[in-house]
Amino acid sequence: MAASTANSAATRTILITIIGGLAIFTLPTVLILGIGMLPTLGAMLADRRKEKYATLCVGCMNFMGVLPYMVQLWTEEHSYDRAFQLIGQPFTWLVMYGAAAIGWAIFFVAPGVVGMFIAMRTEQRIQALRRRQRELVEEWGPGVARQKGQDDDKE
Amino acid sequence: MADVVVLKERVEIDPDKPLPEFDLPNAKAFSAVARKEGGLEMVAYVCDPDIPLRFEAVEQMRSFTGVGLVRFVEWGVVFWAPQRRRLMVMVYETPIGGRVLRGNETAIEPYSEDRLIKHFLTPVIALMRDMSARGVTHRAIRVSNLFYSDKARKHVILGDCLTAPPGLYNDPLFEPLEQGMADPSARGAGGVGDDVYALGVIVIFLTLGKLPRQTMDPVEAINRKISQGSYGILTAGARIPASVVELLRGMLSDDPRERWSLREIELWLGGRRLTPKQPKLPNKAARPMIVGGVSGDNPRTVAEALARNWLIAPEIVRGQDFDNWVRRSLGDDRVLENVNKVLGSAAVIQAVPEADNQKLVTRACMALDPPAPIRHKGFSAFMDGVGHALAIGFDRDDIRQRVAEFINARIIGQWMTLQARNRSELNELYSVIDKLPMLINQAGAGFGIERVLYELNPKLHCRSPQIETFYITRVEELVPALERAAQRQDRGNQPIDRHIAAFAAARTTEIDDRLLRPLSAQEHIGTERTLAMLKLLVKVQVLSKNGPCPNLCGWFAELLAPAVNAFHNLKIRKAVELSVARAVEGGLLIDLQNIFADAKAAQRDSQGYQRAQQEHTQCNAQMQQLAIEIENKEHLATELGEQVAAVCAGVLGSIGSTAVIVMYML
Repeated sequence: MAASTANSAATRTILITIIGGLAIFTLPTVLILGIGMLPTLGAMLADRRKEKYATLCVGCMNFMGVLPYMVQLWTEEHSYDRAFQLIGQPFTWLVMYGAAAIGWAIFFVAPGVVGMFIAMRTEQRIQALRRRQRELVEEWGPGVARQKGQDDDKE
Repeated sequence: MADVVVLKERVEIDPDKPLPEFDLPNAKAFSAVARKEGGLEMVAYVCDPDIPLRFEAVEQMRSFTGVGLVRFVEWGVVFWAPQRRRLMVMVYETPIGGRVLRGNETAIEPYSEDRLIKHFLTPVIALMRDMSARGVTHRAIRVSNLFYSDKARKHVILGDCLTAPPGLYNDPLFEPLEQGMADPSARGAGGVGDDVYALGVIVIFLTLGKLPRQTMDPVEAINRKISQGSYGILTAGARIPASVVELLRGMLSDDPRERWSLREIELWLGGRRLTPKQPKLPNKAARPMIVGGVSGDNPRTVAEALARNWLIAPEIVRGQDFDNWVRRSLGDDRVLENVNKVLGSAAVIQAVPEADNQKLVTRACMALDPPAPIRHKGFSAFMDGVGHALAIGFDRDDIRQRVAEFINARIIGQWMTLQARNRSELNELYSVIDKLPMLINQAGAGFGIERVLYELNPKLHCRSPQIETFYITRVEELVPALERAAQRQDRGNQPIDRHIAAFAAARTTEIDDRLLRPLSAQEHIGTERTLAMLKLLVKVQVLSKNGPCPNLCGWFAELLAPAVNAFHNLKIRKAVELSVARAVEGGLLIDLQNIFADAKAAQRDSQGYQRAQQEHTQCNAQMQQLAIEIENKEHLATELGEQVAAVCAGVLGSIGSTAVIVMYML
C-alpha cells in the first residue's frame, strides 16, 4: 500500500514537471486555456461527486469552445499579443463560455430525459407482464392467479 | 283397466281377468287367449321374481305334446302393467276340468283300480317315460297341483312344474326320505325316482279319495319314515285296496335302489302282479346312540340327529362313545367303510382342529347316511339345490351366511365320493362349485355372495335394484336395461353395483379380473372408479353389439363431470366437454371412454397448471420490482442521466474538437 502511494506520487510529480515544462514554453496557450477553461474549474469546484460527471460534461464542451482559439493561436502567431487580442474579443468569450453553458445544459437536461426513458420502458415491461398474466388466466382460469398455498386451501 | 299383454305375438293375456282358482304359491294366474290356435283358452302364470324358474327344463317342456300334463304353450318376459315392471310369464292350456281339489276341499270320490289305471297312471307314467327320455323331472307332483283335463272331471293330469325350483312347495311328508331331509328350497333336481315316490302319494290320494295324513312335523316324519318306512306312515292304517298295495310298496320304497322304476310300473300296468315287497328297514345297532335327546339305533337317525343338533354334535363326534358305536355296536360294514374314508380313525378325528368342528359333523353325517343331502351348520341341501336356496333367500342375512359357509367348507367333493352314482350334470356343477370359495372370499364388486348367486343360477335375472324390474337374464340385455334405468328420476348413484358386476362376470368369461378389480380397488375412488365401470360396460356393449345408449352415456357424463372440470386448461376443458357432449349424443360408451383414455393428459394438465401458476407468480414479482424501480426513478435517472450527460458531452466534445482541428488544418 505504501509502495503504491509512493509510485502514484512519483507519477504525479513527473506529470506536473512535464506539463509545467511544456507550459513554460507555451504560455500564450496556457493563458487562453486558463481563462477559457474557468467554467470547468468552477464546475470542478461545484461538483461534489466522486465520479465528477458535471466536470467531465462541462469540461468536454468547454474545451471544444476553447480549442478553436488555441488552434488559431498556434496556426497564426503564438504570442501574448495575439492571445490578448483573442481574449479581448467578446465573441471569444461567448464561444468559450457558451460551450461550457451547453455542457451544463446537457448535464441538467440528461437526467430528465433518461428518467422519461426509464419510465416509458418500465411501463412497457409492466404492460407486457400484465398481458402475459391475462393470457395465463384466459388459458388456465382464474385459479392460476392464486398462490399455490391458497389453491390447496380451496381444494 | 290395463291393456291386454301380448306374449311373442302368440298369446294375449288379460291382466283384468285373474283366475284365482289356478293360482300357484309363487304365481298368479290370469286368463289368456292363443291368437293362432282358434282362441284356445289358456292360463298365464305371472311368476314371482324372487323365485327362480326351472329354465333348464323349459325348452324340453315346450315341445312336449304328451298327455298327463297341462300343455305348456309359451313363455317369456312381458311388461306387467299392474306391477309396473317386467315379469316372467308362463302360459299353459287351461285344464278344462279345473283343479282336482277346489277351494278348501280335501277329499274326492275314490278312484277304482281300473279308473286309476286308465284315467291317471297310464298317461302319467307315459309322461314320466317321455320326460325321463328328455332328462327332466317334474318334482311338483302334489295333490294341490292336480287338474282334470276334461269337463267330466275324470282324467287327472299334473300341473305346472316350471315356475318354481324342484320340490319347493312339496310337503316334506310326501317327499322321499332324502328329499324331505333337505331344506325345501335346496332339494335340487332330484330324479325320476323322486317323481315315482310322489306319484305313489297321489295313488294313495286317488285310491282313498283323500290323504290319510295331511301333514306332519318334518322331523317326526323323517324319523318315522326311517324307523317304520314310508308306506306305513303315508297310508296311516287306512284300508288300501289289495290290488294297489304292491304298486304302492314299490313306489314308496325308501331305498331309491329298491323303489320301482318306470319299467316296473309299466309292467304292473300291463297286468303283471307280484307279492308285495316288505319295507326294508335299516339295521338296528346293538345299542342306541343318544344325540340331543334323540335315541338313534340306526345310522340315518343318528346322522339326522347330529345334523339337527349341530351345535353340540362336534363333541359327540369327537367322543369315544361315537367311535365305539360306529365300530362295535352298529355292525354296518358299509357305514364303517364310509367313516374310515371321510372321518378316519378316532385319533385322526381327535386331531381335527377345533375350527373344523362343523366340517367334522358334516362329514360324520355324510358317512352315516351318504344318500342324504349335505348337512352343514343347520343348512341341508343337495348340491344342485344350493343355488335355488340362495336365490330364494338372498335377501336374508342368515341364508347368505349359511350358503357362504356351506361353500367355504369345501365338503361337496367328499359327498360325491360317497355316492354310488353321480349324475353327469352334477359333475359339471361340481366344477363350478369348486371354484366358488375363491370368488366368495373376495370382497370387491363382481365377487362375493352375489357372484355365487349368478354362478349357481345361470339363468337367474339380475337382482340389482337398478334394473331388477327389467328382468334381464342375459348379459346382452344389460346395457339396454341400464339405458332405461338411466332415464329414471330415482336412479342410483352409480350405474354398476355389486349385483350388476357379478351378473356380468358370471354371464360372460370376457369380463375378467382385470375389469372387475378396478371397480373396488382401494386406490380407485371417484372418477377412477367411474372409469372402471365405464370400461366394463364398454366391454359389454361391444360384446353384445348393443345399439347407442345416450341416456347411459349422459349418466356417465354427469359422473365424469368432476374429471372434466379437473382440467385446469380452459381450452382443453372446453374441448373435452365438447367431445363428451358429442359422445353422449352418439350414445356409444366406447367414444366416452376414448375421451378419458389418455391417462397422462390430466398429469400433463396439472404440470402445465403448476408451471402457469409459477409464471404468474413470477410476473407478479417482476411487476413489483418494476414498481419499485418506478418509485426510485428519480434517483436512477439522476445516476444514469449524469453518466449519459458525461458520455454525450464527451462524444460531442470529441467530435467538435476533431471538427475544429480538421477545419483549421484544411
